[in-house]
This record gives sequence, C-alpha cells and structure tokens, in this order.
Amino acid sequence: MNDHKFFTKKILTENPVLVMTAGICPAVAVTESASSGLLLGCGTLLVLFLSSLPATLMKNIIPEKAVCASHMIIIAAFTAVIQMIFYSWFPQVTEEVGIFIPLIAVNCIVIESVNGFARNNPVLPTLFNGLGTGTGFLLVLILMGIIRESMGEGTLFGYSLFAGDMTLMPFAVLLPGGFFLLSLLAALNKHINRKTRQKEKNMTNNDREEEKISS
Amino acid sequence: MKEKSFFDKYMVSLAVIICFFVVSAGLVFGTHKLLEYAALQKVVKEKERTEKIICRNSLLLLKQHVFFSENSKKAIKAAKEKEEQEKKKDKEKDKEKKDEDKKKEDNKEKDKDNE
Amino acid sequence: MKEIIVVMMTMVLLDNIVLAKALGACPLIKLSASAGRSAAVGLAVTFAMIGASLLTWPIDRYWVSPFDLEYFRIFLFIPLIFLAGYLVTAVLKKAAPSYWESMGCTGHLISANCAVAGIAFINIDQGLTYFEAVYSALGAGLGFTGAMVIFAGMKYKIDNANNIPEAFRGIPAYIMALAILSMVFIGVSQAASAFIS
Repeated sequence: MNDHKFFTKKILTENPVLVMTAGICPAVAVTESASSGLLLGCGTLLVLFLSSLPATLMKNIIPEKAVCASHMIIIAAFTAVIQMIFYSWFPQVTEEVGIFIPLIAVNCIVIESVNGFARNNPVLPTLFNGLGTGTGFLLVLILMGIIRESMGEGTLFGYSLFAGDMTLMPFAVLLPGGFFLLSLLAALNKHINRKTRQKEKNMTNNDREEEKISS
Repeated sequence: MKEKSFFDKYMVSLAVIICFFVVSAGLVFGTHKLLEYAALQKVVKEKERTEKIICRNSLLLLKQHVFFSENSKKAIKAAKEKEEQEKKKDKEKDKEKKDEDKKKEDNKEKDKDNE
Repeated sequence: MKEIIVVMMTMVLLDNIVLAKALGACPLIKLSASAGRSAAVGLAVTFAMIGASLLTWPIDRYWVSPFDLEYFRIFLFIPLIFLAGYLVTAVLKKAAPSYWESMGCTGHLISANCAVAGIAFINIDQGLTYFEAVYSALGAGLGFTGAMVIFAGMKYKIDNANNIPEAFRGIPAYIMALAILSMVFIGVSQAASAFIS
C-alpha cells in the first residue's frame, strides 16, 4: 500500500525538473506558449508510462549486456508512435513544438525512469513512479507555459487576455526569462519542501517526547 | 578454464536487440498504417456524404422534369383537340356555304327558265 | 575561408546550442564541477555530436528521404545517436577510468542528451549537406564547451558565496546564473553580429 507514495513523492519533494534538474531543456524552450507545454508534457508522460511497462515486465528476460540498447529501442519506438499520433490530431501545436518531440526520447527523465527505476523494481511501483514523474513534469510545464504566455504575449492557449496588443513583460517569452522563472519555481519548491520537512521533524520529536513521558 | 567464445558473449544479446528492433519497427509501421487507414476512412466518408447529396439533388431535378413534361404533354393534347374541333367547325361552315351557294344557283336557273 | 570562420563564430556565439536554444542545459548544470572537468566533458560531447551527425545524415539521405519514411526517422536516429554516445563513453572509460568513476551514474548524460540528439535533428531540419552538418556539430560542440567552462567558473563563485537566501542555495542559484549568462550571450551576439556585418 505504500506504492502510491512513489506517485506523490515525484510531484513535490522529488520533482524531476525542479529538484532532480533532469528535464530542463524542454521545460524552458517549449513553454513559450501554454499549448505546446501541455502537449509536450502529455507526450513525455505517455512515453514514460508506455516504455517503463515493457522494461519492468521483461527485466528478467533481457541479458545484462543488452539492457541499455533494448530500452533505447523501446523508448524510440514509443516516441515515434506518439509523434505520429500528435501530428495527426494536433498538427499546428506539433509544428510549434518542432524538434522537441523527438527529444522526448533522450529526455533525462525518461532514461532515468526506464533504465534506473524500471530495471530494478517490480511492476506496481514502476507504474506509480512513471505516472508520478510524468505528472510532475506536466504540472511544471503547464505552470511555466501559462505564466510565460500570459505575461509575455498577453494570450492564453491562443485566446487574448487583454484588449489590443498589450504585453506585460516580453522578457518572459525569451530564453533567459524561462530560466529565470524556472529558478524561481525551483526556489519555491525547495522552500515548501524545507517547511514540510521541518514540520515532520517537529512532529516526530513531539512523538518521541510523548513516548518518554508515557514510559 | 575455456574462455567464453565470441558467440557466447555477444550473440545472445545481439539476438535480443535485433528481436526488439524488429518488434518495435513493426509497432511503428503498424501505427502508421492504422493512422493512414483512419485518415482514408475519413476521406471516403466525406466523399460518400457528398455523393449522397448530389444524388438527392439530381433525383429532385428528375422529378421536377417528369412533372413538367407530363403537364406539357397534357397541354399539347388539349391544344391538338381544340385545333381539330376548330377544323371541323370550319369544314361544316364551308359545307353550309357551299349548300347555300348551290341553292342560290338553282334558284337563278329556275328564274331564267321561267322567263 | 572567411565564410567558414564567420559561420563558426555564428554557431558559437549567435546560435549557441545551450544559451540560445536551451538544448544542453542538463549536462551543463550537472557535470560542470571545475574548469578542467568541464572542458573534458565538453570535448566528449563535441565528439558525440560529430559522431551522431556522421552516422545519422547518411541514413536520412539514402534511406528515409527517398522512400518517404518520415515517420521512421526518430526510430532510426535515436539508436544511432545512442551508439555514437556509447562509443565516446567507451573510449572515455578506457582513457580515464578514474574520471569516469567520479562521474558516477550520470555518465549517460554525455551519450544521450538533448544537445547531441538536437544537433542531429536540426541538421536535417535545416537541410544541410554532409560537410555542413558535421561542421555545425563541431561548432555546436565548441559553443557548448565554452558555455560549460564559463558556467564552471560561475558555479565556483556561487558555491563560495555566503549571502544567498536559504531557498535559493544550490540548484535554483545555478539556473539563475544560467539565465544571466544567457542574457549576456544575447547581448554579446548582437554586438558581434553588428561587428561582423
């Protein structure tokens, strides 16, 4: 029953982008518009989930020397499938995202989850870990995309928010603005994690004191 | 102790990798064909819809044409009958006129004989 | 001759693969411990990029484009890029085993990272010839190495500073430094392009 912890852990305390610094390249370059961020986040989640399943089901069958190569082949195949599906259903947003859909396959998050986690753990924790990592990544991408697009271009998913051509802060759509926002989000995440950990420490200290008093 | 031959060391892994490659290539190819088929079905459905509409339109035009042509046939028939009746009337008139003329001529001859 | 130099300067300064296209940020932040290490990692990544371009361009020219197999491109490229990176890491393991061990399990970041794969796909997108593709990979690798060496210096200063707020210590500060470096490069590249033209 502790398996679902693998899911919740990945969203805040071990967020792949903000804490493990694993998927920064797409997180900054793609979130210039919220819809491309949403699309890439969904694509990464799907590829992660779909490729960790065969990796964990066949971890006893594949010989040691062939593990890395076969994982790469599985990931590449699922990325190609996802690209075809996205191109046929959402052609305009896929054109915007451009080369970052093929780059899902070499995203550090996907490789670490499949090669590092799915290789050594049973099925259910891998499922939860894959879902959690992908969801954490997706949430960060959506948040960054919404903030950058609404401040930098005055639109949100294509619908303009302000009357006329007003933009609050065009810096947000440029690359340095993306890094800047990412560092702010990482600092916020670190602050929240620290406060949570302090709270938990205080609670365990109180428990220990109560035990001492009662015994 | 005999060293592991090249076959033992690498062939199994290579075979596994090639297996994965073939299966994954099949997956990619299959998805492509599936999406192509779905796009083709969409185009075929659209074409069928357009053809249905065209068929319905041409059927309506045909009915209209038949209706008008029947009406026109009746009108032609009625006009022909009217013409025939008028011809008959004309003929009778001509006959009556001829009879009158003949009578007048007979009367003239009678008058001449009497003198 | 002048065009070649100008193109190289463009690729290193104006179109730097990390600071203008955000394609190599993961290894930049994780693997730049000191200037010497950064130079070594940058060199390895350059070789991986050149190898990836060498291997993937012929496949696209003779296998993908003539037979309209666009959907197969990712599936064919990624294993080749991985192979190029694997060769580079194998050479690195043999040449400097202690260094390899000190990198720990982040070694695969050299072989399969966004920069190496990005260059392979960008070469196809821009429709370059074989020589131009390999040359652009070399330029991108040199730009990456330069950015990494500069970032190593910045990292040293950040680690030794003692007035950074608690929440910003560590990774948030590194990403902020990357943002400032990127801004500086945009300014420098504008000045350089004005100087060249």
